[in-house]
Amino acid sequence: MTDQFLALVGSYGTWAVFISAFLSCLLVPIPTSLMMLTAGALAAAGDISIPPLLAATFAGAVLGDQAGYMVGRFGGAPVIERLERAPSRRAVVARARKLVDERGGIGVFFSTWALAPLGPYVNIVAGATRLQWRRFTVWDILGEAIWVNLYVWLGYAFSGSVATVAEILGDVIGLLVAIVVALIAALWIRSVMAAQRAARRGSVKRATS
Amino acid sequence: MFTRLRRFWRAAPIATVVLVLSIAMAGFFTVRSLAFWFYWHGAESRQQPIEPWMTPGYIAHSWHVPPEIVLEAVGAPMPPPKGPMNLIDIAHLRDVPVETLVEAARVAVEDFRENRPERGNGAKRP
Repeated sequence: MTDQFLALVGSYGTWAVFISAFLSCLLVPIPTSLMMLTAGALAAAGDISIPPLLAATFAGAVLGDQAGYMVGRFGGAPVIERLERAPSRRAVVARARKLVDERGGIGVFFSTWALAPLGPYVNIVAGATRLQWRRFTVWDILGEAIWVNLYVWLGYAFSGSVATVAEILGDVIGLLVAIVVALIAALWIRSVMAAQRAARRGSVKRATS
Repeated sequence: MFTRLRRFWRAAPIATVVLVLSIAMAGFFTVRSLAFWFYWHGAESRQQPIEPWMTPGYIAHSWHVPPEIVLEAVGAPMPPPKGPMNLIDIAHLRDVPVETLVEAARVAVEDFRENRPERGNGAKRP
């Protein structure tokens, strides 16, 4: 399966990477990072020219993220507003909105490269929670510039062994994602336990007064 | 540790499952990264075996042989068409099985490296 995607890079060059970068930002399961590494390796061999490759991959990724943001904005925002109507969920949604408002930009930034597997979800959530479009775009452009350059130039530098580089990078990114997800789960548990403690204290106070 | 986990479970079961799974995943990727790191250092050859998705230029680049050696062996069209062309494309164009071209490229690279060993870097056969 992977070999078929690599064959697309060999046959269609820059265009194949452009389209796969766009689609992978929309949750289509394509090994874009491996394709970028391979395209970089083919560039080192003189089969692909670097400037159009970088420009096209960057454009594909940014356009894909924008599409994901719009899906969240127009498809997800109404869902969240409906959730918010239930009083029990209002506090949770308000907290989520506050978090996105405070840290959303930096979250988008890291989700485009160091935590790339989370990227497509982050775009949709950013749109659904109405993260300011300008902030989303600025952080997204910065992050995608790193993502694209990192993979293309690594492919260029290690052109004889892209498969190995791809596996090592995949493991490192997988490790980073696992650590971040574990931290999010830990914070989630902590906030639930704090809320339960507060509720217990409240009921004890009510009972004694 | 288990009593703490049980307390987490009672407070937030879904988050606890996510926490346990993600820690297991982190362990898995750590082991894999380390294993690969040792493989990378112990490997004699970092060249990739020749595969159908590769272009003649890439094969030549990876195996440190002049491009003409591979281009001639696989019968690539001359002058080369616009844009890259991999072994699958050349096989379609020439109407031959791609395995034939992989084998032809492998033999050509091997011949060249055996006759001019000073240019190679002691890597294994393609």
